[in-house]
Amino acid sequence: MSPRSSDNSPAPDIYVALLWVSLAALLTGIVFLVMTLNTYGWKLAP
Amino acid sequence: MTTVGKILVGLHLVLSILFMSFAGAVYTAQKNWRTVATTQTAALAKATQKQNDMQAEVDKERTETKAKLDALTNQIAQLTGEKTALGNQVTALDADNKRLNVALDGLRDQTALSTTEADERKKEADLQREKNSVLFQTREELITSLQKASDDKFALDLQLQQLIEKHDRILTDVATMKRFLASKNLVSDPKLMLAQVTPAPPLDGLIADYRKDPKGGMEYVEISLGSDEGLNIGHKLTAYNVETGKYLGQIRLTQVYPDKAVGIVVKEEKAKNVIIKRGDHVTTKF
Repeated sequence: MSPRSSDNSPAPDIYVALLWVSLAALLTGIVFLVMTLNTYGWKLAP
Repeated sequence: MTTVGKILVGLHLVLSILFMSFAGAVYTAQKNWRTVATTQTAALAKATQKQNDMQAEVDKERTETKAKLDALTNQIAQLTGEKTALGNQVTALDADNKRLNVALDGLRDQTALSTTEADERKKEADLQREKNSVLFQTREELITSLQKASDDKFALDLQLQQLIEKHDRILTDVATMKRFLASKNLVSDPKLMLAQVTPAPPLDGLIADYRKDPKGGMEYVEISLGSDEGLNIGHKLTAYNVETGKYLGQIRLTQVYPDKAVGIVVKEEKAKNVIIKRGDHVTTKF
């Protein structure tokens, strides 16, 4: 990719928005897994 | 952006959403197996404990049941023995029952006889009652007679007492009179007095025996007359010989019997030189 000036930064398109949505989905999934491990007390193996 | 970048962005989006979905599903649908395992372990321990308790209880029940079984076995043996004994006793009682039935028949016969005997005794008792009634009446009469006799006896006792008193008084008077007569040299013997006041009846008799006392010179004669002819002590008889007609002497009677009498010859009135002998006559007529 070629360098761009701050003034000439491309305008966010739909794919950037999709990436933000993907990031939110990853964070939500991580939160679910953390909460799941919390129920086991963070003890993975007997 | 290239087409590949776009595809990768799309793929990245899809996988992120899938990851979020799976994580959310795991979180919402998951089950805490550790808690379940702990719970099941505790339940298992409790069940094991309960099983042990029940096993101990079963063992205890088994021991008690065995003891009860032994006791029941012993009881069965005892009851069997008692049954045998009772069977023997039943046999003996049957024999006794038969014997008692025989005795009962005998007693019935005896009862019938006793009833007949009782009837006869009742009749006899009725007769005896009639006799008793007569005897009672006779007894009442005898009691009345006895009371009358008692009254008579009392009156006679009273009369006897009066007579005894009178007798004592008369004896005292007689003793006084005898002393008075003795002081006057008079006869005090009532028989002699009777002979003096009552003359002998006219009689003729014989001398039955004659004896002379060699020491005192008293002469005793026995004559053939007695009290049956009216002679008493003190009477004097004249002795004489009927052949020669001589007077022999006077005889004063000292003992008189019904058919004979004994007397002594009065010395002062005896004739001289005569002998009185058996066969001489005596008389009161002189």
